[in-house]
Amino acid sequence: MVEVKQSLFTEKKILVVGDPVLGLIGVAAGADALIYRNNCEELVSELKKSIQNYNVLIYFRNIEDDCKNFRDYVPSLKEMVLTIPLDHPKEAGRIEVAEYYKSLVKKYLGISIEF
Amino acid sequence: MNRAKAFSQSVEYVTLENALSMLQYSDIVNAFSSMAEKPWAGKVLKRVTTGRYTLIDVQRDIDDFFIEKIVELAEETKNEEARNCLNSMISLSELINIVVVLHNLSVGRKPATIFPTPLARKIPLVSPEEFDIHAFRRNVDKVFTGLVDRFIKNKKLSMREIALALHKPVEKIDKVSNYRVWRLIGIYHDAIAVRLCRMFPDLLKEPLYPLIMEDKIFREACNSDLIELSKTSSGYRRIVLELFDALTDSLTILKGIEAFDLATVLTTMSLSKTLVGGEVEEKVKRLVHLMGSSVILKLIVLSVYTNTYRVELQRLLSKWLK
Repeated sequence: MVEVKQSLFTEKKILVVGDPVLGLIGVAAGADALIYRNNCEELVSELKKSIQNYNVLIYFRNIEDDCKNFRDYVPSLKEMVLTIPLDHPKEAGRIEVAEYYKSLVKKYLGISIEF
Repeated sequence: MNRAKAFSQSVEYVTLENALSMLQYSDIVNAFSSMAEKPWAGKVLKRVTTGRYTLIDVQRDIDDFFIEKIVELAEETKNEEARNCLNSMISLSELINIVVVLHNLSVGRKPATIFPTPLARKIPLVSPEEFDIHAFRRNVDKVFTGLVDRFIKNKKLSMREIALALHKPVEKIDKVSNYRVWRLIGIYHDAIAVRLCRMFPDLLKEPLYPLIMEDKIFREACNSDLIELSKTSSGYRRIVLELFDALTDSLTILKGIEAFDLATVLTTMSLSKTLVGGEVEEKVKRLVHLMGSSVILKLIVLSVYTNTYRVELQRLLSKWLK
């Protein structure tokens, strides 16, 4: 199931699509999140329904690798919102995973977090 | 890359729009006339408007154009990692061509090539008796000379040499430094390996190392009926299932191993959309587009020339080229 996490903020501008960790962080920062769990078709159908509510889409690039429907939809998404693809921590090389998530949050969502 | 260069390169490719437009025509002259401004249309257009021609002539003209572009791409690429990646993909394609040429010679058939590679344009369409195997050996890349030498000596293909030749092109490809390119080359390597073990079941007795496919599905892909294989829709990595999905669609217009070849090309073209940044990704993406454009254009020509599978091809391209 695609999990839509609702934030406490009323203005919905940023949508985060990724693993549960990125989703939780996104929601904590006031964004909405869709969690990708190998549910390719469902994710794309959810995006098609809701993308018009957002200005920015932050997603893990590995979803494009895995999900042809999402890959094919990315050009349309780029016309509708600002898209920010991120490398998943496991492919970002030798990194400290927690620090990596922190840096993403700081850079794209503008908040500091502690694990 | 500046915009002018990006534009000049993009017109080298066959886009979905081009393909669908060409498929609306009932003859090759009109189909290519509608694309007269495209660089890839020029040579074919000259041939088909100035005299008699065969389907093979047109297909060779198409190959010639794209092979020249592939050679240019390889020559202009100075970045070592990008060169390694290009050479890897070109060598894997070249391996299929070499094996098919040698196999055809061993069974008394004319040499033929499958993929657009630099070697492909140096292979004359002559009878097996007229084929100069020593000239052929001089033209092949040095990583394949062992394979050709063994063939010259034993008059048959060595499975051990094929297995070795499959491994060599991917030796220098590093998973960590460019994951997405590694993934694309990995599935291409595995598909080429499957293609070869379907041609020669004895190849499975040799040590083969698929990069992406789990061993179970790799062996199944080598042994199963292609129609059954194409129905595999779960239980394996998505990238592998994508290849089988492409196979399902390819089987609507082609039969047997040709459908598998097309599925391989469609899968790499689709995966190339994930390549967006840096010189390595950019060069590999360009190579995949050049190779794919050649294959797709030849299919369009076949469809228009024979007036067959037009609707099926439109459907397939709409799904895989978008």
